[in-house]
Amino acid sequence: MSAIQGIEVPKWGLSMEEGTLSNWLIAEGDSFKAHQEICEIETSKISNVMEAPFDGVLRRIVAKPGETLPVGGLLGVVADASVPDAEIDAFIASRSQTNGAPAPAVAAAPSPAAAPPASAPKADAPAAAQASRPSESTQASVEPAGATQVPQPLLGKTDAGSVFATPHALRLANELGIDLGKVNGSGRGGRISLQDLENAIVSQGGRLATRQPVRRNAGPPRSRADDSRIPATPLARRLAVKLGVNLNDCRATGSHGRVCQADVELVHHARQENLPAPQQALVHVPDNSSFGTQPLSAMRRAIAARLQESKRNAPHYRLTVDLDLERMLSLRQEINASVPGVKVSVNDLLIKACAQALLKVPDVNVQYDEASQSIRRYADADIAVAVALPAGLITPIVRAANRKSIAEISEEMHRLATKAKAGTLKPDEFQGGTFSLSNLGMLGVRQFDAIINPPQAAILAIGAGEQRVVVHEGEIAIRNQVTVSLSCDHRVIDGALGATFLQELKRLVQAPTLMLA
Amino acid sequence: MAIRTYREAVREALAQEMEHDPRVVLIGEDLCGGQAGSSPLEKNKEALGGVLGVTKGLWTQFGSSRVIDTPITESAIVGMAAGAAVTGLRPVAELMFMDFFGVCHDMLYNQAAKFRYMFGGRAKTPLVIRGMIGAGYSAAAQHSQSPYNIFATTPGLKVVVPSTPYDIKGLLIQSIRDDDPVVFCEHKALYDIKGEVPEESYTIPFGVANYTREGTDVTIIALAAMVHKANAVADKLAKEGISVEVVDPRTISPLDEEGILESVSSTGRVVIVDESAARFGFAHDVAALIASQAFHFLKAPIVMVTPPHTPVPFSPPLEQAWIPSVDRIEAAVRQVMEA
Repeated sequence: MSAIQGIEVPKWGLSMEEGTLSNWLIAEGDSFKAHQEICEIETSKISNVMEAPFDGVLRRIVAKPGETLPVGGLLGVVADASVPDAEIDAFIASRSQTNGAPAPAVAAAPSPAAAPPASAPKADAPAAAQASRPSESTQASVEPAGATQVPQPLLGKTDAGSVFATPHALRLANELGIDLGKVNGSGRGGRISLQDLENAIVSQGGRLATRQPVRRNAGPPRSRADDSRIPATPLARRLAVKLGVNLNDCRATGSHGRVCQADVELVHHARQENLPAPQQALVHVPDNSSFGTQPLSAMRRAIAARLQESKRNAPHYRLTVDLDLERMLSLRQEINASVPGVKVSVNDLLIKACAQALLKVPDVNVQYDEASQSIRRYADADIAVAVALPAGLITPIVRAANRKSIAEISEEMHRLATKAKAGTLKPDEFQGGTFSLSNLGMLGVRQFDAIINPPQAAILAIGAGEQRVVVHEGEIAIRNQVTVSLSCDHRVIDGALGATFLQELKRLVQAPTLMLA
Repeated sequence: MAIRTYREAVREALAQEMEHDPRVVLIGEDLCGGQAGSSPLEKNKEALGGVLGVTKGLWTQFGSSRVIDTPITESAIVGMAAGAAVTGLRPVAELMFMDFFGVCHDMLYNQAAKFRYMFGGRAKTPLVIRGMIGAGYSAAAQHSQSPYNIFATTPGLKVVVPSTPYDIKGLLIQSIRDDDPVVFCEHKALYDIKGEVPEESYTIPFGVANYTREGTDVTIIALAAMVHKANAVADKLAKEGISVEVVDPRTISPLDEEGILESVSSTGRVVIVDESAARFGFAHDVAALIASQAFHFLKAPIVMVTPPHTPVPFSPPLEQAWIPSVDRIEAAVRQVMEA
């Protein structure tokens, strides 16, 4: 049993697939106890401290701060101080092959013994000579640097008239001073190929220089010429304007020799790939469109992926109603005036109203499991509330809001929002939920449509509560009103059902004492 | 070395092999001069020596038993030649225009190409089918094609597409000495090009590509007339500092895969020029070879320069637009350089 153990990216939630190491709390060579905090990891939703799973000595840091690894990816290596560095290198090498994690930069580790790089992968070096099929594994095993070393027995001068070899084999033999007469050819008629020559060098104990990796041109061209006369499909032209691509730089592979969408995207992607350091990009970008590039954070990526998926997969429809807030506002005033230490917001009251409405219309209180094509029905209303953060947003959940008092909901909401802003929410505090609220009223938005947060099937978008001139009981009156829009996934919630929910919600908001019933 | 035309090199190869081996016979239309059979004008029979004068003088030298003029019947020419080959002679049959292979394709495709296999290796078919390929003479859709890609799909046939006088002589002698059926495609635009050709007999092995230009930036793979266009592009771009390697496979079956892949892996950029077809042609086969065997070396997508998927036009301007041109090859090279 090896005394070497790996510290791996933990799985903190069902949906967690990768984690970004933000900081190490211990250094290489430090010993630690189980449950001691050893590093900070950021996931798509939270950043949290990882506790040591066991006692040990951190021999090697594999993941550097900022590095993103899949769940189970190797963060560091733990072993007794007596284990030699070479064994640790071998352990890392074996892990980087098996778990598919990005190969860690072994050389970066400042090990005191300055051990040579892992010796194990070197054994299959001859295979590295394959000229025509360089698989990744063989390339990786080529000696890291240095020129080709020709073994003594092969040295000599090739008699071009008497050997049968490919032009490239002849050229290399001349460059290296090798007598091809001493090399066996495996080709048709005993012809010597480049590969035969390289195999001979390796099998006689020589060494091959690392092949230069394929390097594409520094950057794709960027024209500034007028491209209005270049034939292009309408979509391609629109896209080119949007992406800042000049049609002169595009190939024209569309019908009738037109630049098509794919051509524009190709140029755009080539630029993305070739984008060097931001400052250099600025040099190339003409006139006023200067920008800096920022990689997406884990949270940004999660938002992008989930909402893209929702918008693509869930057929959204929206229902909008105006709610009269007068009675709810007076209830709020009453509670805030009479219950000490409580400051209930309209939002808290709307959470409660939604929870009660969901109980009345349980077919909306569901999740849609796309994989199994089934609907999960919930007895309690777990209401997710979108909270804006500087770097994105998160939806902490008020569990079983239907069973909680308004004061309890208010208090819980306050606690969750504070934790959300501090980035310390636990996975079970933001994963799941049966219904979402998104409120942009404080920013003065009158009405908007929200995107459903899967696997939920509906979300309520709440606008600003404001005084409006309305007809009330046959007379013109000034009333506090709010416009709310319900987005529903039509796969599981039909229009009439959504409307029934809103009807119930309206009844509760306009007669809030019913919420207590 | 003597300077010879492509046409003279063919004639010299035929003459030398007929002298070298009495089993070598020529079969075809108008080999003597278009007046087949005995005639009072017999002494004038060599007036033409074939529509292109390639076989001029051979009847006079070797007589009617070795140089056999036939009626206009391709199936008889190839059928007769295949039978003669399998029973001990080394016939060189001429189809004149390769476009007419359809008339005799059973003899070639299902008979000559299969004899060795069907007889368990105990039969051999040392047969050469010569014929012209290529567009450029306003010979219209039925006399301008380059169907070597079709021959090369058949196992049992070897296919030669030479580009220079030197190559055509060495490869024709090799074809005659080879024990398998060889389809020998002569490009009609090349008959008058000149080059150094050794006077003595020599052979060039099949499946060995010739690098007509050596370079480091781009590989152009081309056959027959296209080789000369590729060379012109290479020479022009060399002045701009673009180093082009031109690979002429010379035989497409067998194909020098190593010669092609080694060049591609050294340059990382490929342009394939092919007069055969816009689909399912030589270019597509080589592109597939490169994509599957040397993908890791590619710095840019492979570019193929082929004719459009249409019959060869009669109209001279349209025909010139149809044939892969120097300009198109140059544009293709610039394209892979920019990718």
